[in-house]
Amino acid sequence: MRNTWVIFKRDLKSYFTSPIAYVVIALFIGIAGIFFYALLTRFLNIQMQAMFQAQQMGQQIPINVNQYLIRPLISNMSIIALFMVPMITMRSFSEDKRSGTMELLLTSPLSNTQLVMGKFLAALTLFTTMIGLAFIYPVVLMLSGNPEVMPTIMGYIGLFFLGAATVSVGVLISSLTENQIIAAVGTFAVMMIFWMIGWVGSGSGLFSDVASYLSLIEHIDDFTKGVFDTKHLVYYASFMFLALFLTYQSIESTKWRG
Amino acid sequence: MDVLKRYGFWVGIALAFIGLVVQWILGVWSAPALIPLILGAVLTITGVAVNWTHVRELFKRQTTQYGLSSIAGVLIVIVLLVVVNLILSDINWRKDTTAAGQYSLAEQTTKVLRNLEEPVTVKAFDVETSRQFLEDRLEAYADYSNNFEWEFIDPDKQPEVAQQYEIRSLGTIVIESGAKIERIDEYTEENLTNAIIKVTREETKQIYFTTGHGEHPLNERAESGMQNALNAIKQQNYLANEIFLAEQDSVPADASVVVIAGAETEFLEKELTLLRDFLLDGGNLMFLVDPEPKQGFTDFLQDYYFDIGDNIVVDRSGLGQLFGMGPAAPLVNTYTDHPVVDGFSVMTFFPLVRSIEVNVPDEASGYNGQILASTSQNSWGETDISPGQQQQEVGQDPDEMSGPIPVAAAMEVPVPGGTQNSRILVFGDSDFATNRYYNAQGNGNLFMNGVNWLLQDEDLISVQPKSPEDRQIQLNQSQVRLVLILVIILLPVAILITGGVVYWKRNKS
Repeated sequence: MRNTWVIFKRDLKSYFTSPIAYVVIALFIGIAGIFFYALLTRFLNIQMQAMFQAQQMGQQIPINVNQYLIRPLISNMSIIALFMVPMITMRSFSEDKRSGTMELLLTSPLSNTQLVMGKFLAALTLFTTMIGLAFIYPVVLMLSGNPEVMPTIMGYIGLFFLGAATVSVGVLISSLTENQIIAAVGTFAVMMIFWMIGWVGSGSGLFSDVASYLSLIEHIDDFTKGVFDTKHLVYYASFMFLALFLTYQSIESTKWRG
Repeated sequence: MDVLKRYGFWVGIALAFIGLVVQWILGVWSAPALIPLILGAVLTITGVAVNWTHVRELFKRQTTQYGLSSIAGVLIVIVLLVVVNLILSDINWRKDTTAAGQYSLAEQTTKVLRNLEEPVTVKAFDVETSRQFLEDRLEAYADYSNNFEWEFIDPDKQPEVAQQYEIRSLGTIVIESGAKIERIDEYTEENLTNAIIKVTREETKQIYFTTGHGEHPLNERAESGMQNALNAIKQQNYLANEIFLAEQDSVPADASVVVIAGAETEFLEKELTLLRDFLLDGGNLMFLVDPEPKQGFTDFLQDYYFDIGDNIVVDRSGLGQLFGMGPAAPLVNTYTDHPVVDGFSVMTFFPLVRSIEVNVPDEASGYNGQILASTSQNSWGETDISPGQQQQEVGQDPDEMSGPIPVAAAMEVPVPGGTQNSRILVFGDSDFATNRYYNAQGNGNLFMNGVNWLLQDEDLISVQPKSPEDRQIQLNQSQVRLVLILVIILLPVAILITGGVVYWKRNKS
C-alpha cells in the first residue's frame, strides 16, 4: 500500500509541476465553457419560444434544463475528454522510459501492481480535478434556476467513469512505448474504436448487440439521462480492469525480456 | 530450400489469411479462396516441419514460455470478464433519479412484465431518428422481463418486413405472442402495456351481434354488411359472433357486449327480456337505431332514460353536400367530454339519423347519462318524414327540435349488488358503421371507441404519460455576458496562471 502511495505522490507531483497538465486542463475548461455558453444561449431561446407558444395556445409546455442543457453538455464534455485525456496519460510510463528511471523502478522492491496502480491513480486524480472544475457549470445553473440535482450528479458520475476508462487505456498504451506522441495518438485511436463500434451496432442480431454493448457512449447514455444502472458500472469496471491487467502484463514482459 | 526454411512459414500464414479474406469478400468457398488457403496451410506446416529443431528449441526458451503464459492469462481474464458482464447485465439494479420519473415505467407496467410467462416479441417500425426515443423506452420494458424482446425496424431498410406486417404509418408497433397479434399506432406506455396484456391473456372478450330482425349482417362484405367493423374488433383481439336471441334461454355467459345493428322488425318480448336480464347481470348493450320505419326501441330504452326522437335530423348548412350527401346526412363535429369521444377531433356523419337524448330524473340513483355528439346549429329534427319530402326543400316547423341536435348518447346503469355498472350506448343511425360508411371520416373510430367503452376491459390499465418537470433558468442579458466572461475566459486563464506560478516557483528554486 505504501509503495503505491509513493508512486502516486511522485507522479502527481510531476504532473502538477509541469506545464502540460495546466494547458490541458485550461483547454478542456475553455472548450467546455464555449459549449456551455452556446447551450445556455440556445436554452434561453427555447424557453422564450415556449413562453410565446404558451401565450398563443394557452398551454405551458414543460421545459427542463437537465434535458436540454445539462444532458447535451455532458455528452459534449465526454468527447472533449476523449481528446484531452490521452495528452495527460501520454507521459505516464513514457517519461520514465525515456529518462531511464524505468530501470530503477523495475529493479526496485516495487511490485508491478503497485507501480501500475500508483500511476493510474495519479492520472485519474488529474482527470478528476479537470471535471471537478467543470462543476462550475451546474453551479451557475443552480444560482439562476432550479435544475434537478440527482440527474446532474449522475451525469458527472458517468463522465467520471468514461474518463477513468480512457485513463486506463492511456496508461496501457503509454507503457508500450517511450514516445509520448505515439502514446497519445495510440490512446486516442483505441478510444475512437470503442466509440465508433457503437455505430456499427445499429440494427439487430447478435453482432450488433455485442457491438453496441462494447461501445463507450452506450454506457454513459443512461447516466446523462439521470438513470443509474449497475450494468454500466460493471462495464466500465471491466474495461478498466482489462486495461490495467494488460498494463501489468506489459510491465512484466519488459522485466523478463531483459 | 533455404528460402523455404526462412520464409515458408510466414508466406504460408499470409497466403492462408488471403484465402480467408477472399472467402469473406466473395461469400463462397470457391477456387480463388480455397487455393491460397490450402497452399498457405501446406506452406505453414512445411515451414514448421523444416524448422522443427529450431521450433523445439524456441518452445524450451523461458521467454517463449513466459510469453505464452502471459497470453493465456490475458485470455482467461477476457473470458472471465465476458461471463461477469453477461450475468450482471441481466441481474442489474436500476434507478431513475429524475424528478418526474420520466424514465421509469409505471407500477402497473412492471407488474405485467414481471408476471410475463409467455414470450412476447415487439417490432417498432419508424425512421432512424426516432430510434433513440424508442430504445430508451423499450429497453426499460426489456429490463423487467426476459420474455420481452424487441426490434427496431426501419421500413426503408427492411421493406419486406414492413410489408409482411402491412405497416401503413410510421410509429406503428406490432406486438406478438403465440398466435395473437396486436398493433398500436404510436408508442405510449398505456398502449404498449395494454397490447401486451391483450396478446398474453387467455380468455377473450366476446361481442355478440343480434340477427333475425333485418340487422346488418356481420360477416358480410357488401355495402350494407359489417365486415369492416368485424375486422376492427378482431384486430383488437376480441371475438365477434352473430346470435339469434329468440332461440336462446339467456344471453351467453361469455358475452361482454351485445350489439343490435339496425333492426328493421320488432324484437320479441322474450328477446327484450333477455336483454334486460343481461343488463342486470352486468352486460353491456350497443343500439344502432334508425329513423322510422326502422326500429327505435323507444319503449325499451325509455326504461333506461333514453329519449329516442321521432324525427330525422336535417342539416341546412350544406356540409353534407361537400361529401356528396344531401341535407338528411348531417355532419357531426361537436363532441362532449364523455370517454367515448373525449379528445375526438374528426367529424363523423350519419346518413338518416334520429335524435337521441338522455333524461335522468333525480330519483334515479346510480344512473349516469350523457350525450356524446351533436349536429351543427343549422340543423333541426324534421318530424314529417313522408318519402317525397326528403328531396324537396324542407323547412323547420316551429314545434320541431332545433340544432345542435344530439345523435348519440351513453348511459351507465347500476347493477344490483354489483360493483361495476352496465353500460348502454345508443346511436341514432346504424349505417355509419356499415361497410359503406365505416371508413368515412371518424365513423370507424367512433364505433370502436364505443365498443371499447362498453367492453369495460378491467384487465387493461390506464397510465398517464410522464413528461419531464418544468425547470427553467432566469438570466438576463448582462448576467449571460457575465457567465461568458467567467466560463470561457476567467476560469481557463486562472488555471494557466496557477500553472505559470507553479512553474516559476519551481524554476526559482
